[in-house]
Amino acid sequence: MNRLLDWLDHRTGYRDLMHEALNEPIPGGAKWRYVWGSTLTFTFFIQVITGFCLWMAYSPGATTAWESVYFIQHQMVFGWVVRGIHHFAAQAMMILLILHLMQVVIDGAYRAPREVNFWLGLVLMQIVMFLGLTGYLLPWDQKGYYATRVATEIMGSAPFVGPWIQQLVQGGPSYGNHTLTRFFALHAGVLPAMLVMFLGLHIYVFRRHALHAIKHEGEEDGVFWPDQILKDGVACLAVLAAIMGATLYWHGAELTAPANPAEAYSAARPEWYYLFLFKFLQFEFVSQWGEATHLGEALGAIVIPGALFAVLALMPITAYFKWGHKFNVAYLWSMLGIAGVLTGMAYYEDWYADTPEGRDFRQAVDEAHRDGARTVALAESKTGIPPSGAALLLANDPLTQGPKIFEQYCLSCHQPESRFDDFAEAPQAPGLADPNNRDQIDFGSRDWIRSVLTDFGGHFAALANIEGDRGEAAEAILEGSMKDWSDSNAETLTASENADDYVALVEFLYTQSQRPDALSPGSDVVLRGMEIFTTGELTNGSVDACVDCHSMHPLVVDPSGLSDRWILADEALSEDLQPVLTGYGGTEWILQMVADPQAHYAGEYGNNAMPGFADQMTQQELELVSKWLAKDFYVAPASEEAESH
Amino acid sequence: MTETHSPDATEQANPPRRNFLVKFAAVLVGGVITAVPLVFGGGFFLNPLLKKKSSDEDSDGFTFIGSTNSLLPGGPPRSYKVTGAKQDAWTTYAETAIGAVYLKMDEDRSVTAFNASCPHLGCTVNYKTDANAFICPCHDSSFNLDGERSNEIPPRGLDTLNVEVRNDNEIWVKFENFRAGTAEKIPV
Ligand code: FES
Repeated sequence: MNRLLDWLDHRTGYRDLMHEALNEPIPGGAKWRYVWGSTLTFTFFIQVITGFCLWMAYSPGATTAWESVYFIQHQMVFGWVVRGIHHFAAQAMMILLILHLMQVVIDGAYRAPREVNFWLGLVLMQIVMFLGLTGYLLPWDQKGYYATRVATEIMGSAPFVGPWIQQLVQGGPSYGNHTLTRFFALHAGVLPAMLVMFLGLHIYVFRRHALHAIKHEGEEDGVFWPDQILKDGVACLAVLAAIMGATLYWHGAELTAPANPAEAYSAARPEWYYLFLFKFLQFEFVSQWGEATHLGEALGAIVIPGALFAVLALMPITAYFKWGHKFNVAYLWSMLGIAGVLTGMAYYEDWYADTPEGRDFRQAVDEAHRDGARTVALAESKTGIPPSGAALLLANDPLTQGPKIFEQYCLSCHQPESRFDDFAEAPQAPGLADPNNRDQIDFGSRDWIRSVLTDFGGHFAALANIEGDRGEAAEAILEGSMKDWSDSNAETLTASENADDYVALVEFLYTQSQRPDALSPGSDVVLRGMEIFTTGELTNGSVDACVDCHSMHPLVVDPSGLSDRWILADEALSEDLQPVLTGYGGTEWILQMVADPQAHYAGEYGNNAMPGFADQMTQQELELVSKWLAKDFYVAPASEEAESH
Repeated sequence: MTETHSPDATEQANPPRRNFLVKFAAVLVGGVITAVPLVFGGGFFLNPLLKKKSSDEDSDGFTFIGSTNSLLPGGPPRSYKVTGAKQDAWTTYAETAIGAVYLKMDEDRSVTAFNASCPHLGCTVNYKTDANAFICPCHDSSFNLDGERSNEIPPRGLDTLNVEVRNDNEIWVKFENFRAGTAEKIPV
């Protein structure tokens, strides 16, 4: 073994190198305050390892970036751990950078002959900040997408060359595939290569001038190996523990819904270490100065921070003057203080302040989380992620889009109770659903059916608020034959002897919607309900038979037995009577109703008070909102959901 | 080449035992902090070996290929594209090309199917009319019409696949790929 090492040493001189590296003397002995540089190097090493791993699974592209990150996060071995480490190590690096900078400035370690190394350090800091900026976009989720767009818009605001720089960075006039390929090349290639280069120079120059030691009286001198190395190692261990702790606590880094330029995201914020700048730009006086100086956004985003940074860079020169060092330390503290206060303010306003903006922000964050989880659930469903990308899963999901369409077209008339205050006008129709509580659909529910049957007048009372042309129709409904039916039969139907029959009739009607919790049309309860629907005969007394006014092809279990699907019976219970109850409350029924209520659901004598939407909504919108109201959307199995979180 | 370094400052200053402990602790801590990212990174890297492919239990594995009418009894083999559902990492393809097969019909109207990829090293073999044989363009493996190898280049004959004729004239094939370069037929 020794001879082999001798041989190797003869050819490479590694022993001298090791000796040089390890036996660096430390005047005053090893100290904890010298560990920051090593922890930074170590964190960079973590980033390289996890970064290479992620690289092997990541695919930069507008329809593959989110998808591959989803795969890393939810399918791969240690995927979320590796991604989480990479994410939190990036945060740790920023913190350590600040601490390293503080230590250097406070100790005066930037002074001659170490000026150049101080500048190299500042360059490294810029590179790390750009690494964070470029990395944030790569998952191509709503959060990263909108945060990064703010940053590139700022670049575009730079005087003269701004628009060109912005186009170069984005790879074109707007965001897309080339934005990702370019950001990825910067993030995984250019910037790390520059970092290695500058880090090499930084360490080389550092070794050349030796450690800037703080030696107190009576302290013994030490050597780098093993005393300082042990301290460095323990500090790195602490950093690693913090990173691992954060990763486990938050279950890795979050992945919100896939980026969608058409979907506004009102919680766009940069990473926390840019938050002070974000807050600074929000001040009105910053914009006013920008206008006054004709620099616009660039003043607050580029010129002022640039000037402040220049003062930082000039520290080694400033230090030549009397009081120079004191000024530098004071400057650093005040800058950190201001940045800290701005960060705190931004953080407080977003997460705690009871202002409309704060509430909007938190709601947008909640929605992004919800949509992210929904996309993951859809991606894990049988359909999986189509080649056209996961954003489509969400765009075609009735549960996600239905409430938005409803809010846009339906809500002002069909106001849910919780939203009465939002509208100046009184509701003109019964509430159907609450877009803010999208799992709860009132329309067509068992409660709804009961209320229509036994309290028709109360149920549709809001129709009385309709004025103008449709007012007449509304009046006709409120005084129509169904109102009479309800008034005269409610008592019999709700009599305690008929309780089971009432349930059966409701279940029969509910089954027609084919909702996930509907009973099978072959079940005894539903069959009994059909009997009542056709004959009106109850255990105790009778009601006027429904078939006398409503035609319907009821649902039946496929008689061929080939499939367990439900199909419409060939034979109708009664025909040519309006309104038709075939498929009542189901997707198709709702779609026809929304598209053209007059044609679909107006009795021979009456008409329908609801306007038609066939020429206002697109076919896709009609389908999405109908499917949502009919609960016709994918529901993830409960157990799996619990498992993955 | 023997050159001894003078004992360094610490060893003179510290008792050797304490120095050994510090060195030991330093190496230990260094090992731990290096190991943690490497272990997780390693597991991540080994994902293809550690993660078993989930098989689709619902389907019987047979894919519709074409109609028997497109084949002549005793006639030359024909090549068919195989399309089917495919899970490619994060993307689910409902219908995409997953391979190619040769179908051939004997005089007795029985149908044989071969996977078109060469058992040598996986190129796609061609059927050459003039030689009336399957020839691989890559390293000249050749196979007769029964799929048996007719030279020593490939380790085994063409891989036959299970065929079923359904509804009178629909040819369904259970499409599978096999490991190249081995004498045995091992599904991958
Ligand atoms: S791959 Fe076919 S001959 Fe080598």
